[in-house]
Parts: sequence; C-alpha cells; structure tokens
Amino acid sequence: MASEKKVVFLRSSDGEAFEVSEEVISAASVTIKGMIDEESPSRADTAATTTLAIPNVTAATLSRVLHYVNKHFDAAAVVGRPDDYIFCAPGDEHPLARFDDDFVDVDNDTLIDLVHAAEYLHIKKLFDLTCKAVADKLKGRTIDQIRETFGIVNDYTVEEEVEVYRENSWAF
Amino acid sequence: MPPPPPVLVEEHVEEILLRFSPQHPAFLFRAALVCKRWCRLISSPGFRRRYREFHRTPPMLAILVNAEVDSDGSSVSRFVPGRPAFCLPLLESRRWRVLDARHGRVLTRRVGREPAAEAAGVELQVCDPITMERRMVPIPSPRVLCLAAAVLCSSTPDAGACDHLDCHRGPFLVVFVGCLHLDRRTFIYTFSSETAAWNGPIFTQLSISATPPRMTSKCVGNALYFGFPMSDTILKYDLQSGHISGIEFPTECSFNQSNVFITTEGGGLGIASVHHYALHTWSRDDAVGWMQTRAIEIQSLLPVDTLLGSAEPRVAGFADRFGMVFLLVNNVLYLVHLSTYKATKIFRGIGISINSVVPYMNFYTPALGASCTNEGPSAGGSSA
Repeated sequence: MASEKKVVFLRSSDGEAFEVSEEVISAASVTIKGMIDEESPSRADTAATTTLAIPNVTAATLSRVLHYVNKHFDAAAVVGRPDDYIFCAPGDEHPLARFDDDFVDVDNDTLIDLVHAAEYLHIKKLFDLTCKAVADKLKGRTIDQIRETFGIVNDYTVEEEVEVYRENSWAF
Repeated sequence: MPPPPPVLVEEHVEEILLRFSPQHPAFLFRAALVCKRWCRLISSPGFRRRYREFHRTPPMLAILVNAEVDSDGSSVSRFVPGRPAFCLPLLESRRWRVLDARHGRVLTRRVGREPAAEAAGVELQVCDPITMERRMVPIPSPRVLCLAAAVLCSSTPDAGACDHLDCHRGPFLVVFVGCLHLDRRTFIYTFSSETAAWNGPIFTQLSISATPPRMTSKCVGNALYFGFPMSDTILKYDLQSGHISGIEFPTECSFNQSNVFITTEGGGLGIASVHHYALHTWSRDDAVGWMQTRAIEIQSLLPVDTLLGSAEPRVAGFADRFGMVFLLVNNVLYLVHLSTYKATKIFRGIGISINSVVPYMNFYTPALGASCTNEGPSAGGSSA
C-alpha cells in the first residue's frame, strides 16, 4: 500500500525540492491542492511525479512547514481531535500540543516567515498557530520593544501619548 | 543571497492582534500605543466585532462580591478584578447590592440610603461597569417587595436575534419577581429600557416567603429561572409567552442556603449545592425531573486542613459558560471547575464577610479612536 502512495515535489524560492505525500499536502494546503487539481488531467496517465514551484517560501521555511504538515495531516500519525486542538488551553492534554509549542518556539523572523508561508499556502491551522505565537510573544514586550521588533516608527506626539496613558493608566 | 528580513504586513497585524487573549485587556491597550495605524485598527468597529466573534466567550473580567462589613454589619458590594493587571474604575458601594449580571450589564438593588434615589422611588439600577453608565429603574409599585430580579438584553426572548457579544450598550429588560407585604402571592413585572415602563404584574399561584434575593437567576433558552433561599420552589418564567410555572428543587436542596443554578454539560438547567461537606450537582430533564450527576467531598478539592474548624462551605455563585462554581470556605473564595474539580483560591474577605458572588463577563477592547487619529471624530466611532 505504502509504495503506491503518490508524492509531489515542492520547489522552494531558493531552488530546493522537498518530497511530500500528495494526500497529506492536499489535506493541509488549499493552495497546493488547487495546483495539484489543475495539473492532474495532464498527468493522469503518466507515472512522472509533479514538481510544484513555491516561489514565495524559502527552503528553510518550507522544510519547517512540511515538518508541521506531516505531523498534523498525516492521517496515520494524527490522533485525538485534530480540529479542536487550537482551542485547548496550555496544559490541556492534546497529543500535538507539545509539538506545537516547540514548533513555534523560534526566533521572531522565522515565526513571521511561517505566518507568511501559512497564509500563502493557505494552511489555516498553521496560520492560527503562528499568529497566536506572535501574539503571545508580543504580550511580554514593552511598547518600545514591539516597535523595535517590527521596525515601527512611533508617530504619536508627546501630548497624544500622555493623553492615552492618562486615560488608561491601569493598562501600563 | 540571504533572504530579506520579514516585514509584518497590515493584514497580518490584524490577525495577530485578533489573537490577543481577552483575559488580558491591558495588552490590546498597550498595542494601541505602538503607532497610530495599530491604534486605528484596534479601535475600529470592524476589529471590535471580529475580536468578539473570534473569541466568542467573553472573559470573566471581574467578580462582584456582596458582603457585610464586619465592623458595623452594613452591606457592601465590591468589584474584584479578575486579573491583577486589570482594573476598571473601582466600584465599591454600601448603597447597592449586586443581584445579577448578564450580557455585559450589572443589576443592583438599593440597600443603603441614597436620598436622590429614594425620592425618585428607585430601588434598582442597571449599570455598565466599563462605561460607568447607570440607568435608574423605579420600583414597579410602592408596596412591593423584591424577591429576585434579573437583567438581560432585550432581544433575549427572540431566540437567535442577538449573539450578546457586544450588546451591553443596547436596550435591556429587567424581570422583577415580587410579592406584596401582606399577600404571599408572587408576581412578575418586566421593565423595558426602551419604553422606560413596567409591564405586569403577572400573578402566580406560587407562594414564596419574603426573603432578600440570594440566588442569581439563570437563563436557559427562552426561560428564566429564579430560586429562593427559604423555599422548595423554583420559578420558571417563559420570556416569550409570559407563562410562569413552578418546579420543585431536588429534595436535598430545598430550603438550602447554598444553591446555585449551573449550566449542565448539555446546556440545560442544573444546580450545584453543598451539604454534609460535599459538593453535589444535579441536572434537570423536564421529562424525568432532577438527576444527581455528581457528589464530591469538598475536603478532596482543597488543600489539607482547609476545612479544619470551618463552618460548612457554601456555593456562592456560578460562572456561566466556564462551568465553574465559587465555593466559599471560611470567608475565602475558591473557583472550582466542575469538569475537572480543580480548585483555585481567588479572594479572601478581609474586614468583610462574603455572602454571594456574581461574575462579570464581558469583552473589554480599547476605544481610543480620538487619541490616535487626526481625521476627526468619525474614526472614534467604537467608543465603548
């Protein structure tokens, strides 16, 4: 059985090709499923494997994405209720909760790359996970640190800033 | 060539801010101060709506504690923030006692002297603790006693008309259960904030002893349930038909001071109660009646020796949607999850003796529109 499984190759923006099960990546990524569906009539009677260009995602990010995808969307590997896990609180015993925590425990740039990739590839669960991880990171930072992280220039005047602080002093 | 560093695009900013936990409102306020673009985004009505729809369940922002002051025995109600990093304008009142909170509104009843309110015949008020707006509600008739009362969004009788995520500034209803001084018959009045008038009374054949309100009401579907401390009867009021009926308490809960309504796992009516140092839960099935679902020794829930020398613990309130009851032990409040029976100590009464607890659940999102835009007042439309 296993040997009959179809695979596709995904080529990253920097030219590296990654092999992944067609079934698994189709279940994970709306974008790639669309690409495969478009290709399928032409390759119905050929044994050649398909290579899809993913121009917006680097090899480093794509390999991470595929690691996630294989863990979450390979029906043989997934146990429990895969769709509910994101709403579990930390500490809840979802089998992949620990994997997810480790997965997003990366530096900021890597995380933002994953957000972009998840959106481009249309992998909703990964997009939720990575956006949530960025949100969690920002919670522990000061306003100045957040600006620094994203290269944001403060465009408040001193008066405006004071006004907001004054009205919401409890939050600072 | 190494890739350029990633840039956070506008849509992703929104997606990320959307995932800030509603349990920590301060983080969104702080994020709004990063730059005006973020502030405009966070303060916009669109974000406000999306944020609520994304999270669905409003957090428990605070608990409202009714207590008696130890030194003079007077009543006091206190607003205890759910998180240390969060503080609404402190509400502490010796004049008002909290009866109910629902759909972002708090219903209080006057217990102390407030000449202006007394002169106007005001016994109830509905307030929004976020905006501090108050609406005085006169009593329906000068001679009635209040047995229980509830506040709710005025769309509640039309099931599905409102998701109650952001209706706390809209019209509301107050349902008032009362009796006359010398007449034991019980009746219901309904106040609409839109007409500023009472409807009723609808009389019942039920007789309920005149005791101060104690149990918070419970809304299940189109029905409001009221329980009374010195009674074996639960009053069920159908909001749509106006029909009133009586249900008996489970025998063990009759005339018990320690009952609270809960929501069962199936979304139906339930009761949590303490007797013989055990926490009991019941669920109601209209065809079958009450069924006891669980009983657990309180001693097993709390740290060792907590119950030593303690009077019998009481259930002091229920956090709907979270399936948690407030257990009162030696003037200390514990929050107990009914699914896991995990107990967390949350508040100790100092100088006060705690009577009851009403959780306040609502979203709290910034309305800083005016401070973050030079484009005139239109951008400040989301003010809470």
